[in-house]
Amino acid sequence: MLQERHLAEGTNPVIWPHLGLRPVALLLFALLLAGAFSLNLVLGSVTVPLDQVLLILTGQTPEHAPWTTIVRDFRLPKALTATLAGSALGVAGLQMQTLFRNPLADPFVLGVSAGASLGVALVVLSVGVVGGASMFAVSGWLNQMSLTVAASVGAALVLGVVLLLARHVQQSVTLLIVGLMIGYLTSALVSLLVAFAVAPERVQAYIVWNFGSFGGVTWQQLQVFAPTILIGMVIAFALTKSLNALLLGESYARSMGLRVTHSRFWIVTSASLLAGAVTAFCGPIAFLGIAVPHFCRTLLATADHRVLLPSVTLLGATCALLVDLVAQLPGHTLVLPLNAVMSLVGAPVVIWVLLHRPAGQASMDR
Amino acid sequence: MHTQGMLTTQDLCIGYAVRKRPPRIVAANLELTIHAGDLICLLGPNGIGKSTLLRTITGMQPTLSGAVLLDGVDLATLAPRDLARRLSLVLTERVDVGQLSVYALVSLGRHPYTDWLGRLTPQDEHIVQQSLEAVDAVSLAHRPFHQLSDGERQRVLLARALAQQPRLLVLDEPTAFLDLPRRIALMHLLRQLAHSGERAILLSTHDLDLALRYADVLWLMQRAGTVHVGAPEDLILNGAFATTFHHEGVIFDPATGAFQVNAATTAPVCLRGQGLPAHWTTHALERAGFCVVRQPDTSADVVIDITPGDHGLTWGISQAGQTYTVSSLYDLVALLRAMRANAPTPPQSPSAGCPELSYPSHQPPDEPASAQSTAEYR
Repeated sequence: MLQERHLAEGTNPVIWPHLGLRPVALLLFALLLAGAFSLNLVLGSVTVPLDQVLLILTGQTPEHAPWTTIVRDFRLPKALTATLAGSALGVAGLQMQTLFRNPLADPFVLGVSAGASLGVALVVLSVGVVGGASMFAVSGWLNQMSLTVAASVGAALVLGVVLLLARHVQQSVTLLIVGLMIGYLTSALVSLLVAFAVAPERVQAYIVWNFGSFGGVTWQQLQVFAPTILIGMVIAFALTKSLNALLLGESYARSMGLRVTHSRFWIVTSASLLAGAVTAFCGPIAFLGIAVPHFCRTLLATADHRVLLPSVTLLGATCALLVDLVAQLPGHTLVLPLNAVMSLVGAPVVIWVLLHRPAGQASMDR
Repeated sequence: MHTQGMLTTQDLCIGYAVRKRPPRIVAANLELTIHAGDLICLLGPNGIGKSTLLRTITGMQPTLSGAVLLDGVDLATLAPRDLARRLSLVLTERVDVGQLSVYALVSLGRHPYTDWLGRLTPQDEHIVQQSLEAVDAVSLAHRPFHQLSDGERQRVLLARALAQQPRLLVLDEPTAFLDLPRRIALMHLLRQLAHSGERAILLSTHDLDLALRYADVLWLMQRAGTVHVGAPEDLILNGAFATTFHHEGVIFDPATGAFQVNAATTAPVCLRGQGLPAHWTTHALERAGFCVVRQPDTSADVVIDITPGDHGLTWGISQAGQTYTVSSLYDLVALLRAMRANAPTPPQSPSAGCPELSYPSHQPPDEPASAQSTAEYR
């Protein structure tokens, strides 16, 4: 009836859009994640068939006994770590890009990973200088655990400084510059440590840490890593509405009733927690945090964080799993540096996506 | 008339607190009132503190002393969310939202009303739709914001501000990036929005002409930190307009409601003719910095006669017994300029020839660019 009248008048009835949450896309991303996760359990230096993996996961004995150890003690924690780290970096990157309204922002702009690097560099490179710490030199003890502790302390210190500033600065861009400066400071200190390092193998160890790896996280460490990431994620998802308001800039956000300083404090807390934890346990994982949010925005053609946050979580995890799969070179015992694979695979993909998106969807900064 | 203002300021002092120093006061003792249903234009020379006043009135910046009361409640005591339900803004800064549809952007205006996830209730959606209808942007609803033209963007941002259902809507130079038809359309829309509801609209602008045409009330901010308030015509008649701007090297002409560059030192030209040709000839001459009188005058050394010819209008120019004829106003102005350049007439007392432009052209010492030099340059 209504339609007939509109047709008679020669006008189209207004179809009002709804801000649906694109459930199909999210479901697809969830399936992709499940697939990538399973592949990471199946593939590796030896291939364990999927049904055998399921047997192991349900606590039964597979055809070959060693498979149990491989899957349960190596592949499963590694896959979980990759999932957590990937989603954490994606979410932290999205938060930073929105807060600073800058498409080039990544989870590490606040200097958290720089702090972690300095912590690791201090432990790895200075132990020889301080003679009393020579027990570190026992090669076996220069292990993941001491690196993790050092990186956590470094990241936490920087996090504290940034949070202190976040409460007081008027403009977020100040935080960006402070983060940049912290980065320069730490890299200067690190290069000093490298220059005066007594043992080349220590420099080597530091470089290897910089490659990044999901493989070093044990079940024991996961008990710290997983809750930290989950806390960061919960804060991030609780900030969905604030992030949407910040799309218009801080002045508009304030005029819409957002307590900008308050929100900024929690955004910085969440992003730093996520990025700091990942750096501490996996090393500085480049690229994911900057690329995944762009990928989601372009793929879904939206800037709404109610869609972006879940999709970045799912897609970030999937990307981390897939890149790790490539780095493991299935069928070989060789392992490639994670960061190298990340950028070698990711950069061409992002460039392709940017160049092939529909006309008019210009970059973030228009 | 009005009994109680919607927004009032009480002994308001605005400016910036500087650490360990006395505060920088922009304006003091402001007693301003905004009534519902009014469109108010805030005018004033550049750098005089218009934005500071707007920011203070909207609670974005603390007062130095005094208070801003909205419906009897001090803005400083309102929670951000409650303030956002009463007051909304359209700022000058460029909005860059990436891939966000117009509908999604306008629905952000429901921020102070929605739950922690920002979910829209059917009522919220209805208000978003109403806001888009109010600014005639329904057809844009599906479009991405970054594809819109400047005029469309301004309308959509206005719809976003309307979706906050404010009592007072404040716009900072909303016409700044628009072409003339778009400016007129926007001012028209703003007046309509102000008159139609229980809301008031306050905007700052440099568009004096449009402000005179559309504002119910003008706030005229002066260098001294005072604000003249009144209907545009009131402020013209009591001279507030002329005093506010006469230090700026331009002269406000109360007869036309327009500004002119001070041309008081050139001798007048006498124009004879009628109707539209005479009107636009005057316009062209005044634009070129000449003072035009309509009666034969001893001080006028040049007489211009407009004659309708076979091929259009011609202008006859007689000076000291010589007569020239030109067929366009461009040539007329060029010729007069050449004549003045060759034989500059001694400066005359401005009040003799041009009674309407009789402002003494004394300049404040801190502004070296004088009116005379402006006129000569032209």
